[in-house]
Amino acid sequence: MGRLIATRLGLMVPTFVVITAITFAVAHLAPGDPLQLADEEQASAAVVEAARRELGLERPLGQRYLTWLGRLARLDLGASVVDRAPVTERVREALPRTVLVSGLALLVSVLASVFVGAQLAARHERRWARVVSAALTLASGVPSFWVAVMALLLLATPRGVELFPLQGLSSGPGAGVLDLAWHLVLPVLCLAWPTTAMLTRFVRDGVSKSLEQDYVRAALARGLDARRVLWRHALPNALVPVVTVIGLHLPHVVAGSVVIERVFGVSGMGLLAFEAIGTRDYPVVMGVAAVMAAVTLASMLVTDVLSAFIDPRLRLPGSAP
Amino acid sequence: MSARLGAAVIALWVALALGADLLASDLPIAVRVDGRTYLAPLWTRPAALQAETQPGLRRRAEWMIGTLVEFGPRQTLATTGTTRTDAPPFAPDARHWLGSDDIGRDVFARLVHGARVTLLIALGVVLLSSLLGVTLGALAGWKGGVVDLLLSRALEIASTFPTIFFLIVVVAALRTPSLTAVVLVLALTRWPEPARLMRAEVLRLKGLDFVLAARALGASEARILVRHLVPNALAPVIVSSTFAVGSAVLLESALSFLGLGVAPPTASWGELLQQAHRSLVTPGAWWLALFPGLAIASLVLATQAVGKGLERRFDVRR
Repeated sequence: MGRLIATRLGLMVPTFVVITAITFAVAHLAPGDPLQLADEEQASAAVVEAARRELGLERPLGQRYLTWLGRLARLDLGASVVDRAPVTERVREALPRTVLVSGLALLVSVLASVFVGAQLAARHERRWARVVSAALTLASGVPSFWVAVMALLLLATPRGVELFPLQGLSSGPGAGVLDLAWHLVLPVLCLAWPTTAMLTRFVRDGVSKSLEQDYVRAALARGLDARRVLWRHALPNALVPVVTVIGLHLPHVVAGSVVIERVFGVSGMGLLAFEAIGTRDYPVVMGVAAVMAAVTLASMLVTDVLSAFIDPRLRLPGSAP
Repeated sequence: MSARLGAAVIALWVALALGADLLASDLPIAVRVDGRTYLAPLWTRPAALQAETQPGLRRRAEWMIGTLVEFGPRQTLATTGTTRTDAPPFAPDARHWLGSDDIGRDVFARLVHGARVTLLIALGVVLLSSLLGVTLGALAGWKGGVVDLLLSRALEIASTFPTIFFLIVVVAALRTPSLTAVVLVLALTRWPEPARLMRAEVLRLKGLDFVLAARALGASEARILVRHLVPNALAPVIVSSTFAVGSAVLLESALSFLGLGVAPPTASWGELLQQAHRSLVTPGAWWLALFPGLAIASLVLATQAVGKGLERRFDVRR
């Protein structure tokens, strides 16, 4: 297991460097820099030149990237060009919100899809199972941000029922956990939406395939309870590919969180990056992109290790999926 | 949805997108006014009609063939010449079939014109990324060795790429992205899938007898790859590309929804939903959110249905 983690980590570091290098290059090769926006407000040439030198914008790109990478190693993401606030601090405020919303959404989708998926596979001949399956297909075609807008329209505005808050994660300073939970309901459910639709169908197909296997028939023939066969025999075997699929799906959850944060005004990483575009605040944009790349890679590592934990065959060297 | 119904829905959207100008425009299809006849002025945009509107022309013209809906996608309340006592957004009625947004632009007009942008981007992305993926995947599978190793590493990196933040950076760099730029960037983020499928198929096929037979007949390496291997390995790519059209529609609308898509005032489905989100501040305009959402969902479900049909027909297991 230790060797698996070591190999995976060895692959992750170059991946991270390539991802950030490409992003860095795109951000900095583009025509214009933050000071050109300042230019439009008629700053004098000498002032602009001095500021540019101070920010290190006159040095070659490769050098700037290496400096940035070196600072990153010391967990320093630089300072915002706009208000000189350290980016690390901004990220420290925003990241927990994004992780909270995405993590809860992932948890909700996994729990819901394993439970519902297994039930659908076991009772595929029932009418309600067919209705739910059809609804899941429908759900996968409906964009989550549309669901979010409709949910706000129906559940958070005077037009519908004002059950939930319109924006943000808190009603004000000093609000408790219940208030937070109340604010989290809609964002988490809307973010969980596409993942649940995808995952439930995946679990259903996996479980119905294992239910056809001989060992299931053997277990039933030995007189085991059908429910026990479903949950203890058929389901665990179907869960191995599910963990892999969750890992591959993580970037989509991250992407979805950006949109959901925008709709619900949750000031997480997505909204932070988004607001930084407007001012071309590259240190902030780069910082967010780098941290989110690292978070995504780390969670993929976790799912890899989890797969190996569930399926011992994956622990052997040279058998990485 | 059956594959046939899916194909019909896609065909309907393509037809609506192609005929958008004939369905909803600020100028008529043909008109005779002030002693002159104008044919398809909506494409030629003659200076004489520049400031006209369809309702205005209809009053003065000897005869006129109007479009189905008398509004263009960019016409606001100020330029339609409509006088109404209430303020926009207007609810759906006989004039604005699907309602209007908060500056009086007709939702139907914007929806059919937006279909052009959305479809063009989705098709462009899928075609371009498939071309790129097939080329790279086929080469890697055929050549093996260093080429294959490089591609496999690139695939691994690309599959963990946090696309959305990369797109945010790119858009920040471009400021007002053009249609071509959006297609290029999205295509760059989707090529790994066809590449992986192509590589696997070529690896599987290249040991088979028909390749040996072609070589024995004296076919060149390039000919074997292009004429024998690629056509036989294409089925999984075609199936996955069909599904990808739907995902591209979703991705494009998510981007436009964030304001990172094609620059306004060009309408696209995601941008229409962005309007709807903004109008939530003055709630009640349900038509702004409902219709673009239905359009996106119908198109995505249709591509999924067609993809499933092709999957069964080609006997491809994903």
